[in-house]
Amino acid sequence: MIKTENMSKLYVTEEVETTALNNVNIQIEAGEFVSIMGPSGCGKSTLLNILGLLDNPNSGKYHFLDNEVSGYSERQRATLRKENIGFVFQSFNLIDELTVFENVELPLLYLKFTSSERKKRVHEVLEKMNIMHRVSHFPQQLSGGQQQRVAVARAIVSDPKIIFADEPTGNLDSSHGDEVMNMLTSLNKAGTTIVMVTHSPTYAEYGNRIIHLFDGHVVTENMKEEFHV
Amino acid sequence: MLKNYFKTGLRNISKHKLFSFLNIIGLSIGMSVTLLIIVVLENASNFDDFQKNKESIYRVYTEETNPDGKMSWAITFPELTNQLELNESIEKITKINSSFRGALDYKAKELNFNGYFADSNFFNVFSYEFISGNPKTALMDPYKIILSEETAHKIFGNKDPFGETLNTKFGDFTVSGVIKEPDGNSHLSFGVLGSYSTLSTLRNKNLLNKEEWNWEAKNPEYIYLVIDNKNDISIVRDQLSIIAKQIEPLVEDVTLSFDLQNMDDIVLGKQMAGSIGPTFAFLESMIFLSLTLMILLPACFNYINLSIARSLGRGKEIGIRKILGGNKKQLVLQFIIETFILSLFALIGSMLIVYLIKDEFITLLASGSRLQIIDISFTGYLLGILLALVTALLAGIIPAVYFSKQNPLESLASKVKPGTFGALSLRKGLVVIQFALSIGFLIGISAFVKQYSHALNFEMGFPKENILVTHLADVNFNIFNNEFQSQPGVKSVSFSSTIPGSWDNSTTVVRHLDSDDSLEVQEISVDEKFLEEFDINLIKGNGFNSEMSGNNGFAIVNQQFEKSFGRFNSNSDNKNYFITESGRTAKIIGVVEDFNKTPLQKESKPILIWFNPDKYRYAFVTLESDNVYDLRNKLKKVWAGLSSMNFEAKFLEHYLEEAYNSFENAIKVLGLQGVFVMVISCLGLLGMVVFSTNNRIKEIGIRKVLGASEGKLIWLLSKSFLSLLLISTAIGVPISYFIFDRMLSRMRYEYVGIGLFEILASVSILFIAGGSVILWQTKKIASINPVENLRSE
Repeated sequence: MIKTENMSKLYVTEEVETTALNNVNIQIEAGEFVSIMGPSGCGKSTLLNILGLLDNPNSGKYHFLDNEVSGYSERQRATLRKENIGFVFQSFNLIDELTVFENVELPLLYLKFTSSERKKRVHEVLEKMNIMHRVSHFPQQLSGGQQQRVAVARAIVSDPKIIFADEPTGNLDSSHGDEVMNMLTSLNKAGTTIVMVTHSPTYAEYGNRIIHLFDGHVVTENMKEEFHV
Repeated sequence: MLKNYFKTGLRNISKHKLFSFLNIIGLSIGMSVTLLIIVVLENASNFDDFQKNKESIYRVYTEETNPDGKMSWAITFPELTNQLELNESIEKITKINSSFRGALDYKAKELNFNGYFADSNFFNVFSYEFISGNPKTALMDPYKIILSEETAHKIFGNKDPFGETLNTKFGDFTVSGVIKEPDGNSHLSFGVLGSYSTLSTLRNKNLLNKEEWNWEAKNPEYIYLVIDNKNDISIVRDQLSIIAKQIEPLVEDVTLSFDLQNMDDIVLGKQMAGSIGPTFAFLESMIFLSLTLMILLPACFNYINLSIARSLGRGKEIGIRKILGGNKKQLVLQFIIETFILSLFALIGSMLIVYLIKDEFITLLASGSRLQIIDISFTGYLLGILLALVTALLAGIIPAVYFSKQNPLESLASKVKPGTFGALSLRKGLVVIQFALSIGFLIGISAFVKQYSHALNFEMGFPKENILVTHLADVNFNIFNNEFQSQPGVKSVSFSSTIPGSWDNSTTVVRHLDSDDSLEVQEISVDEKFLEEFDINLIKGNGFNSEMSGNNGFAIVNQQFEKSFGRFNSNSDNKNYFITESGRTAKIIGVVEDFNKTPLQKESKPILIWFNPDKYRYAFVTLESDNVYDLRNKLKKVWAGLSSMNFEAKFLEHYLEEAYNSFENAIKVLGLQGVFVMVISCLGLLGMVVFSTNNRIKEIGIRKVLGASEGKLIWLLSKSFLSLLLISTAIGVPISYFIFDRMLSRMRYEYVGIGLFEILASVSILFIAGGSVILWQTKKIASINPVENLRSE
């Protein structure tokens, strides 16, 4: 599903050149739950952004669903993105001016679903996330856990092939964190590929593979059975 | 999707109250003037729509060619109807005379009225519904009167007035009908219609002057035709040209021709002298409409400025929308819709402003009678919404494109600073344009005010105070003189053909008897006391004496005449003689000091003064300086004994002021626009200062902790904005000086120029207004407790 070949990313400011990713080679198959770990500044989020088609690498190749996308324009990436990818962020990133329903509905609007189809899907997914009772509330009226459930609902409402989660539990207490991780696990079990960046070794273990990054390099890759070796 | 955009838009407007408030107020003001013009034009285009024959009704108008150029008159000769009636291309024809006005008396009730004498064909041409009476016969006989429903109600209440008698200064009239008020505006606006045959009767009794092709009298006579077949118009035009040729020998001094004007073009067409009802010059209105952009654009600039300034706060939303698949087009559409919603709110605001300023503004825009009924019709509302849409596009497109171009990751991380993408220079540029426009208006206003007060105080060469001017109307000047001169409080009485210092102007061309060099001069006919009353000193020769009255062989000239005329070669025997273009020979018997016979807008020409009582139209009554207004009321009674006409006397000063009405109007229009542009610019500046100082709260806190004084911080925050005002001044002053200097020097003969005072005053106003806005906000930010400042991180 995902394959990178010697993928690098450089950030250049006026005086400083920073290598965020250096010859990264990874492969992720459909149905996997992959956790990406590493210290701050190691390039986790940069990798997730590129994998999530929010950014392009400077060099190397990136194959997404059999397309070589490293040179895609923003418009091409946007099309692939909205049809195949769901995102969950640490800070939830819900639009404050929209209600729970409207936030979850947004990806379907951009995918031009009909009104009745949107309503059906949003309600289904909100039921699934157990947040239906807050359907008309605005994000600021919800707790952190509730907001993240809405964010997950939004990520899965369009039935994406893959979900990228950037520290989804970072702003949550442990009980809400567990709740979100259980949700992601059950989504994975239902067939959705999940790629998650996390600081937490415990939550990383929810995945069936962990990729460790350090200074822009992939240092180790462990399969679940190797975790405690 | 659209629903989602509208919802987000509305919620954004209510969430960001300062932003919305500044923009709605600014756009309301900006849209109001444009909306007003649109509404006025829309109303004007609907005039007379209730007339069933509107498309085939034409008015005959007159083109006058005189030495000064061409002039169009809505009035014409009633005699034309006799010949036009024979033309088979004309289905129907009617004539009206608009002098039917004064007071209606009924059993001690008195009501002022305005109306027309109309012939019995009036209702064949125009569509009015009768409540009582017969449209075919109601205007047939002399002394018949038809009342409008409103007039009938005012005098008779609910009683049917048919057959009742009403007294007017023209005689007793019998009510022969009552008509319904028309459903809509009409250029023909009247409370009563008198039978035209009354006028003929009065003329036959010699109570009114006989009018046979007398153009000089300029009687308010109008002719309307119905021509069903458009192809026949040229036939009628041809006939009018033939008539014009035939009457050529009968009309003195000018050449006349006639043409047709469709009823559609009466209100919104060519400007004509002597028009009835309001007229709007279409071209001028269009120019005015484009000038309103000067107000609308700065308001749009504010929106652009403030939207970009707060982009930081919207980064997250834009980022999410892009990540979830929103493309550029969708984002542009979203922001345009959001601007459109804001413009719709502003449309409501601008409608309120329109209601407040419409009466004053319409008087400035519409010549002729005051346009009373201005309503926003259904089409008006649609046009208003269209205006909101155009405004939304003008104001919204730049921010929309700006937002849609942002990188989703950077937006999400709020890394987009309002200073990136050249947006800061764009915003600064817009503020500079706004304030440069403001200074332009300020300099324009001060230049016009200076010129206006100069014109009012200008030494015209004669006294202006305490001279009462009245039109002689039907009163013989000798009788007037005897009656008025003997009144206590009256110093002197004199007569002339025109009012000195007014627009009323007649010119001729003179040359020596033995030379071909000619000189264009202004003519005035006066009596023997005029020069003394107007304090115009004789420098050479003699004044008129009563024996010369009516003798066109003698004339007095002014110094300018003498100087210009003296330059021509002439035999010394003939030096004091001249011949006019009409072949009249006269001798110059005296030379007087120069004085201004016309307003300052017109170049002063040499003046030729005759002693010709036939031409007297005005009487000048100089009053003792005490209680001039009481005295005028007393004189009104004296007048009532001489004439049935109203005593329409005004002081000379008022006539002179009226000559500068266009000036006063220009000041009002410029003033209103200037205030609007200034307010909009200050609102924009306020918004910009608020947003940028809020972004520097942390910096200010740190500086304060490190010991910066409040004054220094205010200066730090203010200086970049003050420098924008300076740049605006540097750009605006020379450009507006150039524009207004050229404009005024072209219009004015006595141009006083734009001085340093006007420029300094304008710049000071700009800096006081702009500076207060800057100081108010920067002081607020600089005085926040640093602990709170730092906490805002």
